[in-house]
Parts: sequence; C-alpha cells; structure tokens
Amino acid sequence: MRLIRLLKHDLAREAREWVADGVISEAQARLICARYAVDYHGAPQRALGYNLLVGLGYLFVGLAVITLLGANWEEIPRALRMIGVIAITIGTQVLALRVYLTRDPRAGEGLFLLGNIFFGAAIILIAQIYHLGEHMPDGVFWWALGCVPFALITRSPWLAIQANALALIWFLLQVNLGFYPVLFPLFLLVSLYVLIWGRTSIILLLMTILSGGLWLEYSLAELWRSQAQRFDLNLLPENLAVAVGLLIFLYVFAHWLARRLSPTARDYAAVISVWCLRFALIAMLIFSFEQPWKQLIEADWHHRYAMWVVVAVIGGATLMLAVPARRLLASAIQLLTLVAVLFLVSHSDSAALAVYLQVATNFALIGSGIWLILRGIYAGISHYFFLGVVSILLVALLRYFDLMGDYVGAALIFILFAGLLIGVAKYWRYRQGREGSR
Amino acid sequence: MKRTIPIALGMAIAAQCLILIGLYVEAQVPLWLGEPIRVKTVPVDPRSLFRGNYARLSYDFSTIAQSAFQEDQPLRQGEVVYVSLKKHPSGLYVFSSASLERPQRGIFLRGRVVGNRWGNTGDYRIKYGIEAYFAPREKALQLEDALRDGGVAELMVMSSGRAGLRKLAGDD
Repeated sequence: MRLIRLLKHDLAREAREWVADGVISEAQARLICARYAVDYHGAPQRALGYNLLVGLGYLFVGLAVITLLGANWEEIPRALRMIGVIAITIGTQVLALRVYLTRDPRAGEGLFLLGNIFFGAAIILIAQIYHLGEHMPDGVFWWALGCVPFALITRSPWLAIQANALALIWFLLQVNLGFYPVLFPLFLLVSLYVLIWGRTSIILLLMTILSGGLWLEYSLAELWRSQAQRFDLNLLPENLAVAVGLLIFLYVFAHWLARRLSPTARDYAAVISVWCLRFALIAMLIFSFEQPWKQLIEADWHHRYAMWVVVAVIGGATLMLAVPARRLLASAIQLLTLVAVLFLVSHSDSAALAVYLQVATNFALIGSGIWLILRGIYAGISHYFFLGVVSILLVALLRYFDLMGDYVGAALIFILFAGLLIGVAKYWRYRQGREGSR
Repeated sequence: MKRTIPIALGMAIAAQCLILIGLYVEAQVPLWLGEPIRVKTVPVDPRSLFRGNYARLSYDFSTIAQSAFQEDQPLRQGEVVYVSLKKHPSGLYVFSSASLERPQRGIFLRGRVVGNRWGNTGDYRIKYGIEAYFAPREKALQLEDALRDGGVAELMVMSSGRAGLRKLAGDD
C-alpha cells in the first residue's frame, strides 16, 4: 500500500517545481497528478488551511453564543432571547443558502455549519426556558437530525462530519445512560452516502468507521443485555473479540479497496491500512502486560456461543474479500491466531496462561517492529520504518519498567530480543551481500 | 446546479424551524393541559457547562426501592416506569406505588430508570424530566440555599404521565 497517496497535495506542489526546473515536462507533471487524482493547476491555490481556520472561527462564534445563553441573563426577557436566537439561526441559514447558490458553494457550506451551531443554541435555550429535565441526549439528537438534510443535499463532508459528530455524542450519552440509540444507523447511512457521492474526506472516513464499529459493538451489547437481564449497557469481553475480528476485516477491506480503479478508493485504502496498523500496534502494546490477559481469563464469558457465531460471520466475510484482495494467507493466519487465543482465554481458568500469552505478545511486537523496519527500508516507506523503530523502543522501555517475571526472567527476555534483532540484521546484511554480488 | 437543490435546502431550513417549534410545543403541552400538583423537592448541584446555570432537583420519589416494582427480574437501565402519587394531608403529593404498567387512574408520572444504587439488589434512581430548574447563577445558588431543607415544586402532569416543571416555591 503506497502511503504517498496521503501526501498527494505535496506531490502536486513538488511536481510544479520539477516542471520549473526542467526535470519533467508539464504534460508529465499533469499525468503524475492525474494518477493521484489531484489538480495540478489547483495545487497552489488549495485552501485547506484557510477553510479550516474559517471553520474553527465559526465554531468559536457558535460557542460564544451558546456560552452567552448559558449565562441565563434575566435582564433580557426569555421570549426576546428565543426570538433572537431563532432569527439568528434562520438568518444565517438564509444567508448561507444565498452564498451557496450565487457566490461560493464552499463559503456557503461554512455558513451552513455556523447556522447549524445556532440551531443547537436555540434547542439549548428552549430547554432552559421550559426547564426540560435531565435527559440531555434528546436535545443533541434533534440537533444532529436538523443538520442531516444539509449534509445530504450539499454532500459536503464538513456538514456530514458535523452531523455525525453530534450523532456520536448523542450515541455515547445514550449508551452511558443505558438507552440503546435505535436511530443511529440513519446517521451512519448519511455519512456513507456523503463518503461515496461527496468529496474525499479522511476525517469523515475515520469517523464513519469508528461510528460503525461502535454501533455494531453496542448493538451486540444490547442483545446480550436483554438475554442476560443485566441492568446497564456495558461492553463485555466478547465485544473485544468482535473488535479484533473487525480490525482484521478492515485490513483486508483496505487491500480490496486498494485494487479499485478509483483514486478516492485508493486514498481511503491507504488511510484505513495505516490506521489498522496503528491500532494493531497499540492493542499489542496494551496486551504486552500481564494484567489484561489475566482479566480476560478471569472474565465471565456468558455469551461464548453468540460470540463465536459473530466471529465466524466476520471471519467468513473477511476470507471472501481476501480472495479478490489477494490477502488470503495473511488474513487466514490472523484469523486463526484470533480463534486460538480466543479459545484459550475464554475456556481456560489458569492464571498462569497470562504470562505465556504476555511473552508471546511481546515477541509478536518485536517481530512486527522488525517487519516494519525491513518493509520500510525495502519499499522506501519512512512511516513504516519509524513505526517499527518506535514499537521496538517502546517494548524495551515498557519491559524495563514492568519486568516480566523476576529480574533474571526479564534479562533473559532482553537477551532473546537482542538475539532476534541482531540475527535479523545479520541475515539482512547477508541477503544484501548476495544481491550485490549478483 | 440542479434546480431542486435550492428548494431542498429551503425545506431543510424549514425543517429546522419545525423542529424548534415542535420542541417548544412539546415543552408547553404539559403546562397547557396538565393538572397542577405540588411535591416536595431538594435542589442539588447547580451548574451545567453548556446549558447554563440551573438547580438540579431531587424528589422523594427520585429513588425507589426495587421491592416497590414487584417484578421477578431486576429492571434494566433506561426502562420506562410509572410512579403513582397520592395526596398527603399537607396538600403535597407523595409516592404511592410504582409499576411497569401504565396506571388506569390517578396522578402518576412517567419516568425512566437511570441508575441503581446497590448493584442489582437495592434502590433504583428514576428521572422524570423535571429535575432541572434553570436560573441565573446567583439565583440558582440562592435557591439552593433557600431550599436546602426542602422546598415545593409545582408540576403540571398530563394523563399520560408526562410532567412539566412550572414553578419552584421561593422563585417568585
């Protein structure tokens, strides 16, 4: 997976300099830019920074209005405040509509963002006037819902991000209070629609994946809660197994996307792939300690059979996608590892198993670090190289502070790590020497 | 640009207006159509970062014993419950009974289980949507002081159990 896709705007800017220096022709530069679906002529005028700053400025204007309302001034009659905030909302939206239709659609989208914040302020004010109780999520739901049509009609990623972020806040507030947010898929579908038919947006992509994952996990938690007659809506150990399964599916999905013709699909593939890698490393770092394994072994796995069914469904989908993605072997190994580890922790009561799993995770981390360093050097991807170096250094640091076993045991592990690293380095040098002599 | 887009965006703005009007009407309905009752209340913890200053109110029937529900299974968080009130000789309404079924007659409030104090064996914490009384910061603090030993809240209760908070004694 070529991570250069994430830097394509820098590439376009660089290409202009190559043309100016006579290294390549303008036609060639345009071809290079077309390969990554970036506008060669538009590169210098790209106004991401400007748009972002204006967007953040609007956000603070909205926050200022909400804070002023929060001051709850008695000097201004509530009816007047109500009329004022509704007039500001509608006025801003009408202005945004005018700018969107007649002048600059992007500026119009920015104003719609601001109008949507004022809309939220109006909801807060109504709650104040009528002392609307403590169930705050309802207000956030109506706020998110009011933003949805603008995202759908304009297909603007920023408006979709706003609607999705509000929906996500509503979702988290609801599940925290023990309510299952039934209508959340509606917001997910809106984000998916804008992702497919709107402009490219990495933030919206990541937010949609996060939202989808949370929705699936809490849907399972709700199903298991109703089966077990539990009081609260919390995630269970079984949810962790599903999360790992989803991560493997996403990894294969990224490789499947990378084989599409669409440049946007390839951009998304690079983003998903790199985030899968980061999450996998973070997860392994967490499980490089003994305690998380112990907690999993000691946990009550009340929904084991349902969990296996869900993991099997995700695994089946992953393998089906792995064939066209040409990642059958890698994904099969990952899935088999998941199944084996899951079987061990969910069926064993032996706390001693935690240490073995901890040692295995540490070796897997070192192995991943070595693989990333070598891959980074071979493929010329500096991100992989540095990620590998950081992983190995972090393992060394963590294991130094949190010794595995006693001092002698930890020293032995360090020696094994050292042997592994030096061995791989020697092998690499040997390979290089052979390739050079050819 | 398609000709339908301006119309659709105009409808989106109208939809936001409708949502605001809907929320306003929904908040007003209990105050228009509800039956007035007075209940004892205690204000606690007056502040909300985003929604402004308010006094958070607690009622005697905000915490209900699990045994009051006569259910075999423990209730789930978020479950809708109905709490019947009866008139005390003092004129205030007090807790009478609680159930998952909507009562056929009498004054009752519709609430939701939001927590339980002692795992699955103790009391349930119930919210009815009448727990916030918004007031400027100084006033909210004054109310907290004035009603420290208990005050009286005037509620408007509809036949469905939905209630609106109309007035707090001491906030004249």
